[in-house]
Amino acid sequence: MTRRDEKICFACGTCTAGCPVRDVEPSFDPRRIVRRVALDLVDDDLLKTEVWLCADCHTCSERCPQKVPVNEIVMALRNLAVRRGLVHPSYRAQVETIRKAGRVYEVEDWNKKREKSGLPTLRDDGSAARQVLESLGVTLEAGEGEEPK
Amino acid sequence: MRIALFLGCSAPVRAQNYEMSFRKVAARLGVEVVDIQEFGCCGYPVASVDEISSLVLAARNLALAESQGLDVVCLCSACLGTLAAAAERIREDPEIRSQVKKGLEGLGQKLPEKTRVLHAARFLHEVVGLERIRAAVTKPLTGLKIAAHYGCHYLKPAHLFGKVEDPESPATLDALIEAAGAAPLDYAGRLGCCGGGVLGTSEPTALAVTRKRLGAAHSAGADAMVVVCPFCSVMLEGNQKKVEKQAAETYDLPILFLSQLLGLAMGIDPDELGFKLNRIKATKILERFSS
Repeated sequence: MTRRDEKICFACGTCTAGCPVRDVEPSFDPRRIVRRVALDLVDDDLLKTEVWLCADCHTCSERCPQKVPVNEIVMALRNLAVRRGLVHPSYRAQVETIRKAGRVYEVEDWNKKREKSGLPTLRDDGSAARQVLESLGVTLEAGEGEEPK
Repeated sequence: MRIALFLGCSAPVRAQNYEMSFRKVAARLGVEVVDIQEFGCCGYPVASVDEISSLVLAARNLALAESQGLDVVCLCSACLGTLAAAAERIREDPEIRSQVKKGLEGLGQKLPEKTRVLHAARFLHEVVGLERIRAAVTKPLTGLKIAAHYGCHYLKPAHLFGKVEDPESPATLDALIEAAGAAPLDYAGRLGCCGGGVLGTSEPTALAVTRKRLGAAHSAGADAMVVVCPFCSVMLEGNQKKVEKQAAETYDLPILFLSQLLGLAMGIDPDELGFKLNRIKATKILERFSS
């Protein structure tokens, strides 16, 4: 598969027009995000707030006439934000729980309720998730950047 | 027919009615559900933080299913998207493939090559088939107006799912609703996002998106909305009261999981389908259709 990128964006705005977040939040603009990447204008403001407002619905990428993977660009920016110490606190919390319990929730705490619902009990000690995150050196410590508000 | 049921994080905790009803409906349709105890997080939340780690977590789940020769059926649409995307990346990107292979070796797992990933609804539609479902319906939900909420990851990116349906004009959920004897509604914004993706980062934004979905289904005269993702349910049902309060509107709109609707049409006891766990009570629907 040839992976296409931001450089072929001709700024038509189809992404922004179809964005469900933009629909309710006028400050969010996927076209502007793509342009800023193309023009090398990525700064900490973009990484701290705007990239974390994407709902990851894929409407933009799906409708883009140039097949720019807008959604993948946003994900790459989030990864970059993390490396600069700008991870959003809600993602930090989710990943910390995964590291501890293997999932976003501590599923074993729900086993009583599950038994009552006639569902099989679950076990997860988080060891596999922990090993993956640790072996790949994923760290969510604050880096050089500021903490997001 | 045997499948590995992938529960993910949200469904087994926050949407037990989904899991209960899917298991009952699957059993009624002669599907054997296998639980793989070692399944963990699909990797979805980790994708925002570190792509490779997310892919390794996803691939680990696929490898576990593959070692038992089973295809994976997901209840959650975000799990579906994550696992299916990982399978594609491993297949098509040699660089990713070797990195994921290395990550899996550390976990004592082999690179998965052929395990398929399907959403529970698409599994019912494509693999079990409408004919068998129709044959299992004993109490058709005649006259019940249902707004299907497809959500995002059930449809997109379309290439992950073999382009079986056009994400701008999907039909599988409507067909399953029809198979239950109910009437699928065409309504504004039926393809819209639930807002769940930004709940953690901007709750007001998320709820504003949710309000659009609820308002449209309510105005169209829906008796209920049908969802196929636990997180869509968190937004449309779990946050419905909050949205009503903020918007000074009343929807009182039951949100049912597709498998609850199908189970009801198959004459399965609503208690076994987890209707007691629905936060917006489907009392009127149960009065009409369960006996």
